[in-house]
Amino acid sequence: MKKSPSAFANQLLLCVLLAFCTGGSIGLAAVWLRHQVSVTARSNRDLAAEVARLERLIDERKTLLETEQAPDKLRGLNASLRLGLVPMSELPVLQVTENVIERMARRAGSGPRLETALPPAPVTFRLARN
Amino acid sequence: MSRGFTSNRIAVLGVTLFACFAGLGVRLVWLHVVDRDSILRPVVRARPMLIPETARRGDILDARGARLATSRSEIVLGVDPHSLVPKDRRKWPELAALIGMPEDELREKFTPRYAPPAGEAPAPRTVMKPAADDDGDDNAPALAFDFSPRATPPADAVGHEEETDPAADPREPRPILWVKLRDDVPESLHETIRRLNIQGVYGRRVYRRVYPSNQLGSHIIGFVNREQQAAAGLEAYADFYLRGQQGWRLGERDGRNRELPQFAVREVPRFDGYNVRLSIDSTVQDIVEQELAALAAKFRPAKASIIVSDTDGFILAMANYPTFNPNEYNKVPKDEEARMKNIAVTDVYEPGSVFKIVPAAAALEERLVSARTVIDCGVDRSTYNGRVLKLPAEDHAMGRLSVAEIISHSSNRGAAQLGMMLGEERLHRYASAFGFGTRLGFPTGEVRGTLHPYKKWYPIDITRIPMGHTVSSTVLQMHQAMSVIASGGVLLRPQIIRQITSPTGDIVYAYDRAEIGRAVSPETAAEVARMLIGVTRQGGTATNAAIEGFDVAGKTGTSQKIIDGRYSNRHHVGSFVGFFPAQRPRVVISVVVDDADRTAAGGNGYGRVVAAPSFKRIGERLIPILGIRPGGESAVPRLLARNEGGRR
Repeated sequence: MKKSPSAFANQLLLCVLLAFCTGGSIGLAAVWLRHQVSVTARSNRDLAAEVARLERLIDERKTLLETEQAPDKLRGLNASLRLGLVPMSELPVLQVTENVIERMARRAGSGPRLETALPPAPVTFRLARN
Repeated sequence: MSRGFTSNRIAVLGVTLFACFAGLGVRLVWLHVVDRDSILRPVVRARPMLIPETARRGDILDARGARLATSRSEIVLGVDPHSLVPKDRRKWPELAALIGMPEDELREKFTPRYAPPAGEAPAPRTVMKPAADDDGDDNAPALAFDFSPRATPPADAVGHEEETDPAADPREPRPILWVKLRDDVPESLHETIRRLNIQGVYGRRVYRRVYPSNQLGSHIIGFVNREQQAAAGLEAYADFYLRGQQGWRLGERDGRNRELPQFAVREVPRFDGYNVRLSIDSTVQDIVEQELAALAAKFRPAKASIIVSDTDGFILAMANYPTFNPNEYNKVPKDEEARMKNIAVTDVYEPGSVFKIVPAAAALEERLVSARTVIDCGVDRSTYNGRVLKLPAEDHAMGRLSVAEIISHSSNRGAAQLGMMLGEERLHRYASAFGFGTRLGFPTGEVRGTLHPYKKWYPIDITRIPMGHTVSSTVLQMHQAMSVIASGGVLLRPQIIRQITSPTGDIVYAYDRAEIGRAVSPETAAEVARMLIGVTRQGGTATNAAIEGFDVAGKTGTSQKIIDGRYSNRHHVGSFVGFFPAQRPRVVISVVVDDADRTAAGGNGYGRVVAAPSFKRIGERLIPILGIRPGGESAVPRLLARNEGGRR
């Protein structure tokens, strides 16, 4: 069977069209990918900027807090608000150097007593041996 | 027929397509090969951009983690008057209110202006392009200046009021492209301003140093100046750790001056500065500074210093009077700039009787005397190396005193005789071992004081040096000499930095107790400490330094100041240096008051009058804060209590 001369041209044209379509698709995909790369990079950059912005805001708040807690500022507030707070200047624990049993007995006998419904629990003390 | 037509049609179509593609190919070759350079030249010039990333300077923290110095990002707000658009005019009053600027002034700054051609008049500064926000702030134009990475952020971004277009012809009037509106806009306010979305108004981000506690510890911390240069104190000493490393990105930008992150070709990340954690305790520092303020109000001295340290050489507080606020360092008058010095380490004074601990400890160490050895302190002359030397005068007559009493009564003649027992060489050696005449290694500004080589001493010096004359020291040196007794005979390096930490909190370097050398044995140190307790007990020179329930060891000192080349009877330096609890020391406190004579009782600023009460007040306030308990066997209750019947 004799081959038609235009068949080759048709096939060539078809191949060229297919090549165009394929190339175009690849090109479009490349462009789309590049665009996506740009979008992602931009998005990452924006996120990094947002994180940095938030860090700066947190930092600013922290500094503000530290400034408001400065000793002279607190003293000023104490005076202006008439809080009457005084610095801790006395020992929170009294160092007892005298005989402890006698001291407690004396305090129990003469000092003010806490009024409770239950009688006080019995307490005994033992002297440690040196 | 149709086949022929089809064949021709296909041929024509093929030729046309080929011609089109051939044309495209030729054009591509033309653009990419032949005309490439001329096309790329303007693009290469316009698209690349360098974005510097400013590193955040690290914080200086106290022992509890409170920030003593920190960096706050602020915005230098400006406007490009040529970029303003009419539709934003209604927002201008709101902007003026936000930045606290009169509306008329704002409108004036918003008026487009031109700088005169170069040579006619002083023109506004010309820059390549305004510095951009390093985080890609869209409001900020991109950066296009030189490509050499900067070691420091562009400090000039702050100081100038106006900038012109660098591309403009200098022979023509140049448009002013940037006018500063306000240079200390906080981040939160900048957010609000950004939301107004006024075209042409944008900010540049800068870091500013802030000292939240104001003058607290100012002499130690120092300050960073407006040019972001560490100028003094630990800011300068630890600048290497604090400053961090600037970063930068090299990339491209689009036609609207926005960064194209996908074309970033090189990026050097910034490294924020390390944090420096001090041994300073803000609470203790505040107590000390309050005491100094009270002391200054009462005695109006020329200057005063207080140091508090633990027995490992770490300083808990160091303060001086007068002081300054590092946030406002530029407001200190020129003639008062001395107040910015850390005089506790930069200024020297004659320590006076506090120095007597040196000959006493040395004589004990050399087994020349014991605490009970009695010396006749009533004599006014003594023979030394074949010479008759006049002994120094006493405040009041003293007879025969034991060595312990020489310390507790502060006998000058007793100390002089101890010095003569030792001899020049040994006295000099022990004085050096106690840290006199040398730098102790304090980070900032320390001077060495004066302790002449013993071969250069005058014959009389052997009687004067033991009582703290003709020798000079810094407050810190005297403090460390007393610390030798408190720490069991070891001279320690005074330290103020505890740790260097990364921004994430990892420890980069930790400082530990550092010994310079042993001055005396632990037994001698303990013996001297027992003798020093007598100073604050009945009969001692500083009973007003005693703290109830605690054994306080200390020594008063009063030295005459040299005025016009002579020792003055009207100007004294009074001091008290001590530690407690004596048996198991926790803190060493030094109080030195210079020239408080005018207001001191009796007209003399003696150490027992001006310094000892401050020691007591500071000590009492430190007890609950540092959890100090009385040391020694006698003060510890021996009773152990057990609740047997009281289970509840």
